[in-house]
Amino acid sequence: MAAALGAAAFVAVLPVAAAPLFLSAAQNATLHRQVSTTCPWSVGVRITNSLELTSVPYLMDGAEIFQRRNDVITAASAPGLSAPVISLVGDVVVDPVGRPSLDPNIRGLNLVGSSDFADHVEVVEGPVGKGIWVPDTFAAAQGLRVGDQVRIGQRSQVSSRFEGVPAPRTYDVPVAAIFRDLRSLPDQPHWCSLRDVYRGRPGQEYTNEPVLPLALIDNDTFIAAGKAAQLRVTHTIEYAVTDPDQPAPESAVLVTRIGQMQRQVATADQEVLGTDFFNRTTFASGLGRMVRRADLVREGLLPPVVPITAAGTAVGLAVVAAAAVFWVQRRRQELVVLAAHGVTPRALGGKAVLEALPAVLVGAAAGWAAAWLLVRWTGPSPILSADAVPRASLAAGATALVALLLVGMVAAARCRGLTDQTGGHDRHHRWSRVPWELLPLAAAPAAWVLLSDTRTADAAGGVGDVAHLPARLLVVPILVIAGAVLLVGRLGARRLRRRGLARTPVRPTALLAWRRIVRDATTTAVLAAATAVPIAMAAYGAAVTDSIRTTADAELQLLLGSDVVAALSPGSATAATPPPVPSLPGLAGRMTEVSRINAQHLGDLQVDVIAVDPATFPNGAFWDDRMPGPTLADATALLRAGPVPTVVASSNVVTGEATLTLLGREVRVDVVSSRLLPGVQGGYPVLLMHRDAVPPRSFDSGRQLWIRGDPAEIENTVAAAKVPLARLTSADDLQVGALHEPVTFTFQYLIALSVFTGLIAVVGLLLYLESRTATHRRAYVLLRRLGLRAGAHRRALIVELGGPVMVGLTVGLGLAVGLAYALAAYFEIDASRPPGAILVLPYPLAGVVASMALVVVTGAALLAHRRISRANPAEVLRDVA
Amino acid sequence: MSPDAVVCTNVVRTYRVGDSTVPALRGVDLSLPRGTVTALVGPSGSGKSTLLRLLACLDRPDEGRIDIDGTNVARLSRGGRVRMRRRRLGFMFQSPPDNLLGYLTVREHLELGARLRGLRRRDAQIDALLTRLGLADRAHHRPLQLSGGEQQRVAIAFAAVGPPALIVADEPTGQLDHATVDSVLGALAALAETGVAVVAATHDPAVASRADRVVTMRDGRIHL
Repeated sequence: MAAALGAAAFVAVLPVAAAPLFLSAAQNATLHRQVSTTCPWSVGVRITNSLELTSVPYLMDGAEIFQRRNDVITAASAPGLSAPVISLVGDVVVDPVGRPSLDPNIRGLNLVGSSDFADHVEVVEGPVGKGIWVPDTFAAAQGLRVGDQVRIGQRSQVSSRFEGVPAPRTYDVPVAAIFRDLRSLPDQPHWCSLRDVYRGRPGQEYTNEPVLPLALIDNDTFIAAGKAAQLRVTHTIEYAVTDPDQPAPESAVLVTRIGQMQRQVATADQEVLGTDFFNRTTFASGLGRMVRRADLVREGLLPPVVPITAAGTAVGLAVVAAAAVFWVQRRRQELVVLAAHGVTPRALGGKAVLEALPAVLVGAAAGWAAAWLLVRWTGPSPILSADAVPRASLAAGATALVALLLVGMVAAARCRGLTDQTGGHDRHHRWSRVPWELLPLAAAPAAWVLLSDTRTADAAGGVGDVAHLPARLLVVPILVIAGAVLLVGRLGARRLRRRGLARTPVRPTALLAWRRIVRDATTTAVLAAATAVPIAMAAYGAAVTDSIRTTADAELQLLLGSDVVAALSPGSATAATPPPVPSLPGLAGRMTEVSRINAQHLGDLQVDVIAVDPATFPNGAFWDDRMPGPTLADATALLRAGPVPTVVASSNVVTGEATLTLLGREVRVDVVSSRLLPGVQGGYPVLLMHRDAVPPRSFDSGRQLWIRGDPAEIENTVAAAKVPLARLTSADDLQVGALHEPVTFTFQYLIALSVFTGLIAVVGLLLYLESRTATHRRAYVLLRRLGLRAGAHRRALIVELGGPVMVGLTVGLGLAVGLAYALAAYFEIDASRPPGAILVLPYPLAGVVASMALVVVTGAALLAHRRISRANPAEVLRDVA
Repeated sequence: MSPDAVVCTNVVRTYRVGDSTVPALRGVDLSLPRGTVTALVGPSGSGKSTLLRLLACLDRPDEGRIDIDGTNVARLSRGGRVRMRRRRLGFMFQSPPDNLLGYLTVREHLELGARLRGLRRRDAQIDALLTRLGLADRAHHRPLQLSGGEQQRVAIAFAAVGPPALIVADEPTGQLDHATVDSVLGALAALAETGVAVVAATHDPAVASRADRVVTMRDGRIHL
């Protein structure tokens, strides 16, 4: 009995304790995902200012401004930020001293003066002494070695705004080291804020502006060279966050400190610079926006989490109440004695509370611990805010208190009827005939209308919206499941009571099991309902979880084209052949090369053309056969090259022959339509075209590798193969900061809770067995003397337990599948994006639940039989006498 | 003080079974004098147990009145009946184990009973009761260590501590052998001598023969 009470308390406390922990974990996960995918310097603080290293007689010296600004800004640094990294960036030309440049086209460099660079590059040669560090590509082009002298000069002709400024000069320095060009390596976090400098801004590859490699130098030498060359440079002071894993509330404190720092910097900087318009400081920090978004996501999680938690706790408390009923049943003789001697029902309820106290406390503590472990292991983040654990403890304590009060109230109410049979019977009879189960069923449509909100708006501004799982997708099924299961239970029990005895099985096993089921029709119905409700919730939860996740993933994958899209650096196509496809061992069977040519015209309609290899395209492009319309393989098979190529267009494109204006050339094409195609972006239709039908020159730019699989593995493989990349994008990248975050976290919460919902059925089974132990024991002893075999009794127990459980399983799964089909159209967050909701039924979960039910029933029946068969006949018969 | 501990006047009780009604008592008039043992006899279904339940304040009549120590218990609320049971009534079930708590000793049963009746000085009365019922040497035994007769005597003592105005016993010897019945009937008689009214429903001729009064019931009515 103690085990059953403890287990019931565990079930009641688990969801309510898990909720604050989960909300905290989700909030922190949102924050840390943003932090981990953002440049550390953009997360912390980035203070930039343009600095004129010109020698203007009537203005403060640039070097002095540099030094004084460094002093005042570093003095204002907020606790929680790293040591500052001070850097200067300006473009220069570098020539060998004493000989002409080997390649006059490769003289430009982005010179970076930094206080911290030596540990963040891969040194090829050197370092020796003080001087400039040049990239290996530049050293090779110019034939430079460590120790060679180079001359730094002004690259951009800066016309000074000031009178009396001397003409720019050059500055000679030795080559101190040669390092691996940052462009030939995967990006490193340290250089992230200069990524656009050494890789080029997005789209720069399509302009005439060259992307210059980085050269490095210490700040003092940079200032000296800059003053000589009259450089206008960017002065940057950067701070990372010391602990990027700190929870959201602590990060919010740091945001406040950063705000104070910003005010101090503005004041102090004004003192240094006066009101110089041209030297205005830019202060940037991404942490505040990230914290606000994390708060927004937490807020967005409340609508689904609250009903789930409430329903879970309500079911748990119902199990607690059932445990109290069974407690009275087990203690009936003792309670009757006490009640007959005038002990009040309230006092008997108090006795129940005192006796239940240890079990409930242990169960509640276990529930709290399980919630903590559940969130730590399977939650969105193992990092919890400092206030989450006390909140969870408070919620667990309050629920345990409610559970104890419930035990007392239910026990007192049941004790009232033990001896005092007056009044209320007829009234109770009348009330019990009212079909209360119809109330939740009737409330479901109203809940559907009222709980339709799917997005949480950004109240603070600037961090976008977030979508959450609509509460109605959870509340309405909870109401329907509860109402339907209770109604089926009531009707089933009534039928058993009225018609059950009409059937008389011949075999002893069947007769025993059936008559026991019929005799306790209400208990049987309760057990079946206790099985059906959690199974229905778990199965429906899994269906909605898998469907929305699959749909959300499909939306992003369809948008991107594949799991990962690697945009290649412009290649070297000839007039006859496109550049070769890079060799990527291990990815061969799930990769395809395409050329994306945006903003072309099919007639008057703007389209994006994707040139594909029909043989490999279905392998590398995203597709899910559950999506509507013809499959990708079928669509791709229609592609033809030839004089009038056959192209496949996404929806809303007129089919038949048409003129395609491709890279300025008009081509007649035969257009066939497919409902969905991967890679549809920006609202423009996509046109798939055989790669042999497009000119090889179109592969100069817009070349992409579409690869299916794990983004991390793909990124490593691509980096190892040294594929010249312009950009690598995965569908997961689009997910970060997308409006789906709370939905994703809700899935995890639902799945984690579903794992434990099976416990409710197990606890129900325990209570059921407990309530029948004495009866079973007496029956077994008597029947054994009448010649009943032990095996027959064991089988009878299995049937007696298994019958209601299997009925519960069937009803639960049936309800879940029915609800999933009925609501399938709403299993997506962004209805404006293709492909529409994809329904995923939880067959694996159903299989696991059915197997588990069989195992639990058989195990419980065997254990019960073992206990029963060990009874001492003398004691049992004396009990009966 | 009235010589009758209990006076029943035109007591009617009807039960509903499914859609039909079963009259259990059809106007019972009965008085139970203090200091007497009354045996309630009659065939099964005659209404004995129903009357006992009404006398024990475990049930309430549909009509009529039942005065116990001058209080009409038919009008009492649920809480009032609980208080009446606690202060003025004792009840014994048929099966000896059903009357006792397995985890209390004989003396602890009596102490619990005394405490429920609100007695402050209870040791002397408990000792006297134990001696009167022949249980003094069993005071520290638990029910499982006692015979059936001893258990039923402990049940009498448990019900009698206080003392109450009325002790209601339902087949008090129904599960005892002949040798033991005598000791239980002796205990009930000894208790009645203290001024308590005892009423016992029974099929046992031995009980009827030792009772001060025998009341016969048939079809829900008293046949004197």
